Amino acid sequence: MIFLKIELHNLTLALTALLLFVVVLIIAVLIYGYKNYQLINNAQQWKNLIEEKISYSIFNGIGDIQKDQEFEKLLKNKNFKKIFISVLIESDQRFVGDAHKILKDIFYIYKLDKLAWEKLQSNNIYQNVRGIQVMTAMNVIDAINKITHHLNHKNPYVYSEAQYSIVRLNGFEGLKFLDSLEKPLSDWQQMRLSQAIKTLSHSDFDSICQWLSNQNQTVINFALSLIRKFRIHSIHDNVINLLNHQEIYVRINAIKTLQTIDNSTTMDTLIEIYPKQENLIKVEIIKFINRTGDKSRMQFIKDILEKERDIYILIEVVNLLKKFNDYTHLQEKATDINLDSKLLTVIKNALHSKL
Amino acid sequence: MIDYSHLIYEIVVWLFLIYSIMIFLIYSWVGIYAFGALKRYTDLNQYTDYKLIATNSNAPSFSIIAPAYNEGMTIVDNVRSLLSLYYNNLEIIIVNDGSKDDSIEKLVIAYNLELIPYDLVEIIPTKEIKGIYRSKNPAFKKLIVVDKFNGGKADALNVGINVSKGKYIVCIDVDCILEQDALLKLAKPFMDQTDERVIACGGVIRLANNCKIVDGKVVEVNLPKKWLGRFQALEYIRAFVLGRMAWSRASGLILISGAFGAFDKDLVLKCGGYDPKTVGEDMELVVRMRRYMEEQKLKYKVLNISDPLCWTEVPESIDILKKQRNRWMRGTIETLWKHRKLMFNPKYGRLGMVSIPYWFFFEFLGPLVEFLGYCIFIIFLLFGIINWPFFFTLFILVVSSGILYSIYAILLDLMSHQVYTKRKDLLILIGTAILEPFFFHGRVVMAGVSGLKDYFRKQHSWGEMTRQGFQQSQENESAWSKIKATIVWSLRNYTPIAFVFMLLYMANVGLEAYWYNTKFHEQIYSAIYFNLFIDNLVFILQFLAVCSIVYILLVYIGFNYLNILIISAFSIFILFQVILFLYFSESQNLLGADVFFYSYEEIQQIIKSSGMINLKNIAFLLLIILFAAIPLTFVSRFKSKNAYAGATLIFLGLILVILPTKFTFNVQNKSEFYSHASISKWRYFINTNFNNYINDHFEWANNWKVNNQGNIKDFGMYPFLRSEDTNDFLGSHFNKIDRPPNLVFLIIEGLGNAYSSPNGYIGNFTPFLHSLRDKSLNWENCLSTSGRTFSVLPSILGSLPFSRNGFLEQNEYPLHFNLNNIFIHNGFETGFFYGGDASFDNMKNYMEFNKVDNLIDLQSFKYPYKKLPSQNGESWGYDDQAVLDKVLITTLEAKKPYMNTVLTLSTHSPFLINDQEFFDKQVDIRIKELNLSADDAKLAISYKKQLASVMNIDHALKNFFDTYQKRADFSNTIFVITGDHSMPEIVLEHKLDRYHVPLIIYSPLVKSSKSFKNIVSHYDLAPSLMAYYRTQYGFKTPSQVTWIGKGLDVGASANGFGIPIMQSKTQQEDFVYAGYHLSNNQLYKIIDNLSEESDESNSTSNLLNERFDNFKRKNQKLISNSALLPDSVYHNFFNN
Repeated sequence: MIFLKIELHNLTLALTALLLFVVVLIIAVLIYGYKNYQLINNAQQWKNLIEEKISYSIFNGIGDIQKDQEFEKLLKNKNFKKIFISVLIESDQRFVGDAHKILKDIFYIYKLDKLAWEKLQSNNIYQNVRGIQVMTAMNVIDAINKITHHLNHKNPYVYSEAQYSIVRLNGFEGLKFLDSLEKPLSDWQQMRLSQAIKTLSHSDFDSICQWLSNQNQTVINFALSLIRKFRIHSIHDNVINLLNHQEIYVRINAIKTLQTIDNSTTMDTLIEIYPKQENLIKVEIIKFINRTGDKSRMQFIKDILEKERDIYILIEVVNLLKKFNDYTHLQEKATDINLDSKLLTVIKNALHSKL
Repeated sequence: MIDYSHLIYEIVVWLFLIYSIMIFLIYSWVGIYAFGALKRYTDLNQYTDYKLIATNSNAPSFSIIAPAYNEGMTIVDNVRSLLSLYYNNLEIIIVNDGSKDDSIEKLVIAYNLELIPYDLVEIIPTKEIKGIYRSKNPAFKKLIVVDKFNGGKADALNVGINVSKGKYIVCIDVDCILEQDALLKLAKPFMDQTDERVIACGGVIRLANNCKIVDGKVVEVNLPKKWLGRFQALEYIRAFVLGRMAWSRASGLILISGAFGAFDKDLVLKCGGYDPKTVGEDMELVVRMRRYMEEQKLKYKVLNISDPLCWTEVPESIDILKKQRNRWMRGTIETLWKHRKLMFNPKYGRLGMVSIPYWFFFEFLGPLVEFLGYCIFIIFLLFGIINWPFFFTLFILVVSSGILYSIYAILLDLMSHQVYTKRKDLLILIGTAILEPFFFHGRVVMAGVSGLKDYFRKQHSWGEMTRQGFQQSQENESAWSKIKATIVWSLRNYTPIAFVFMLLYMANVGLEAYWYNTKFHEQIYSAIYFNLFIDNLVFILQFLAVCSIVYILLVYIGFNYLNILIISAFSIFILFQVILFLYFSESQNLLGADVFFYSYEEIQQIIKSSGMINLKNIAFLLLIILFAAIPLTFVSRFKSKNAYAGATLIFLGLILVILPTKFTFNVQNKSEFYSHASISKWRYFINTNFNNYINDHFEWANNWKVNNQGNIKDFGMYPFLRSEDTNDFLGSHFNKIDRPPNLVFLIIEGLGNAYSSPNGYIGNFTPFLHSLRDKSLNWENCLSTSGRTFSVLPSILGSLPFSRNGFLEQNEYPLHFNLNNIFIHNGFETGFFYGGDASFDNMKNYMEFNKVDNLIDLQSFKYPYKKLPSQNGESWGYDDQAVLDKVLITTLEAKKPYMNTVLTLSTHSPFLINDQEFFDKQVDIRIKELNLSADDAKLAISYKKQLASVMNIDHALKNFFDTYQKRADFSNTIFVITGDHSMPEIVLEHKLDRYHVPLIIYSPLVKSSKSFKNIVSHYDLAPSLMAYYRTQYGFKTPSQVTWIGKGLDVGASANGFGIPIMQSKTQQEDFVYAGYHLSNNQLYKIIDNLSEESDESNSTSNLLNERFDNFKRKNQKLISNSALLPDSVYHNFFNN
């Protein structure tokens, strides 16, 4: 062991050097901490000032604040500009119409667009994300090309923000990237994109149909969410086709979607596919019947109660019978001495609730 | 041993330093990594619109599960706080875990609850549910209250999981206050998942103490008022802002706090829910979920988000805090033990290779190592071996690093979340960071240690308690079933202890090898390490196999204190292992059965004189026992899953016992040191004792063994008895005088040829003795008859065999002739001079048996004679100067011719001499005079202590002879100067170096100096001297003798009997004859200066073996008959 050949004296010297280094670090952290504390305090004051100016401008026009020399002076400070940009992004959701137009004017008057472009073109992913966010908030159409370019960025945060931005700026057209999207769309991203689409035209349905047969399962799910949101009945058959999809969660989503666009054939189709499905799908089909309240399927329901063993399916079935007030069948079933104890409990619960 | 304890001291210091460096590096990594994680989270989520989730019907469903036990005082407000959370797809499940207060009644009234039938599928088994309540008021439709029998927090959570309908569950403490957007923020990571499944997610927990809370919401954040709370606030910042964020980013997080954490319910169910048997159910569940995902080879993430989402009250009483930390430690141990399979298991990826080892080494061992550090600090302090500048530097560095880490955490917290933004709060936090190492950290460490203690005390019983359970289960079983059950039970219990013992033993072997490398690094080579390792491994496997049989038998007979017995025995075994190899490294002798041939007083004297009995060494030995006993005790609580591992271990051990296979390299052709260094010291100790016991107690076995070694030859009753026909070889070399000359034997302790002769490989460090050679008869190749002192007197004075364990060890000495009784018979005055206690090695007995006239030993000296310097108050006796002075005085007063035997002492371990400084310098001067090469000088310097003692005796001899020469009797005196053996502490180049000693016969009567190169031994002295005195001075000598030697002219030549040599009192393995050396059945040809080379000649080997066996048979006769010659021969000589 070479360590033991190091003399204690030398070791003490090494530790002393390390100690000095640690002390220097403590001082550095304290100084840095103090500066940050000041910055945070300033940031809050600046934020209040900017919000005040924006509110004033919205109500009184932009002219007056341009005369404020103090404010002009502050705009030379890079940190102030950062705060300004942040306030603009945050204000995006709060102001619409003319008020939003004022925001845009402020954005250009104070040349914050320059900073936004810098961020958009930066090599730093956080700057890119911030750049995309501000361009989206300020509705900078000129930035679409650059943002579109970021759709292929390797970093998920950047391309996700670019996806959202392009949809915000271009509407449904912005979803074109889905045609060739290989990377998965998270539920969160699907929700954001779906929320960003405000309207649809008939011409857009073709694209949605196309996405339903996409290899990317998350694109299918997104398309289904759009169908649900806009209740696109005309795509019913395409959704029915998804009931043969190999991925169980796509099938579940398809059944959930069918609830919003069902027609006279939907139920028959579901009952037809029922026997070959996994338990999770079966539960969804029973829930589907439950929501439609179609009593004509009573015999199908009773058959399930006889044949199925999965307790989750049985609970749904008993609840359905309860909903359809078929307590007689439940009472008969409760007398069956061979009945599984769990099912008996569920039936007794149902009968008890009647009382 | 002192050096060794110093080594241990250094190793301990370095182990702590390395551990500290590891912690320093890990915490630096955590700091840097957490910075990145925080930046990413805050930058990317700054503008996240969480309202999207709050209102979206596609948002995932969440079930909050809050177990409550006796929370009646606050439960209504707490539930109200939960009901105000922003999240649409949510259910809130309050599980009343058998509260003894009125919790359930208060909830029923406050929320208008009613008992409802509930379709519950009990996927996770739990305690029985009393009832499930829902509110009649639609405003509280999210609320479900479950009333159940008490089963603990984990059981209550499992009930909640069974009841829940959400896709994700959020487990919280009911008294926690959640931020209103907590679920929105917690839901996002789950919704953000793509390729990797998010299986669990936690948020930052902050302290609610002293915060202003209105309607279940924190409206004003303040630091706790009490310091204890502030310390914890700092701790929470460090843990959540730095630790969890870094581990989350590194995908290594295994702890989501039980106070607030969200889990993927589907996976929780697949894993079986919370484990109600552990107190650390939160961590255990996360580990189990991760383990499941790793086993299924699925991609996953465990995340922590840096938003402060939950506020909790921390204990502001030290007792409650201690209990909490105690529980955390127990939880950690339980989880680590339960999932021990994961440790360093590459199959489990980062979980097995990073997270679990990190938790084991730093979260679990951290407090224990720190506590151990305090203990060792106190020990070092008591021994006064603390280097204070080093200690203070290290101490300040450790404290400063802790402060730096805390301040850094405060800074990051400020930058990312701005929870504590008031200047006063920040300053207090920095002050807290400075005070925390002094006033808080130690308490947490102690609570952790007590957690470990409680873990064993409460969770596990001692072996004997387990044993009772085992016995009970065996009743009414058949005998075979009982035996089978006994064996299986024993093996399962024995295996963990056996494996840990084996590890400890082999770790000690590593230490032994390292110690040899440190002490003998220039002489040792790789085959030694290999042999040492393999021989010890084989030995320990054999030993464990044998022990297992004893263990099973003890279990079978129902021995009650088995664990205590085995832990004690194994700990002492480890201790003795250290003692054995230290003994070897100090003395280069193997400790064997000879230890039992020393009396208690002798052993006491050896130990005391060696300076080994001191506080430091005693503490060191206690430390070794602790080092062994603690892990053995720890592991004795556990059983192996089945008996296979134990059975394999034992089978392997027994196979090794039965098979005579040798797995080690042959190092016999090197010096004895190598072969001894490379064997298991324990094996040697056991083997020699076993053989000795057999020899002592089973005479027939010994006779059978000896008689089966070759052609049986009957040597008669007195096999050593022969006619005295020695030539007077010496007569021609001496001038004849008118009276028989006086004879003085100067036997120098430990005087080897290697350092007392010009051709010695260390150098000539006896310049005076060398000067005598010009006036003397000098034998360059003389051998002593043993590796220790015990045989020198019988060999020189009587040319006698060894009997069983050395001639002097016999209870009654058989009648025989020796120089003492023959000289007395011829009118000489005889004497024996020794500075120590002559009882040692029974020398006094022997001299009294010979009726010597002057027996001078320890008791005969008084002031101003100087004793050898003592270590711890114990000295071997008086220095050589004193002994030689006594010789001068006694002989001056002699009225008759005299024959004296002098045995010196100073050159004995521990080699302490008076005037040490002077002789140390003499060694330096001598090294320069000898003009040694750099390597040789380095080698000599490494034995400075020994060589200084050699130069001391040389100096004493010079003074002795200077005085003697001035006396009249000098001119008619013959001095025989020799060594009793070579010092084993000084490295041996060849096997015979151990016995290679100078032999000088110096006298003014010598006609001319002469050097002889023939190999002689101490056996040859008595015959030659007797022949000289008989021929030249008409001495009456016996016609029949029992000499082994045939005289200095014959020596070890083919005309002689050969030289049997006994290394220690139990080792008789060497025989020299006709230019060959047989050592442990290996033949060597002796070349110049008693160096050797291996020889494969079968005929020579057979010849030497036969002669050696003959000697052993003769010796066996002596042992059996206790007689060397007929009484009549003896009495006839003396009576005539």
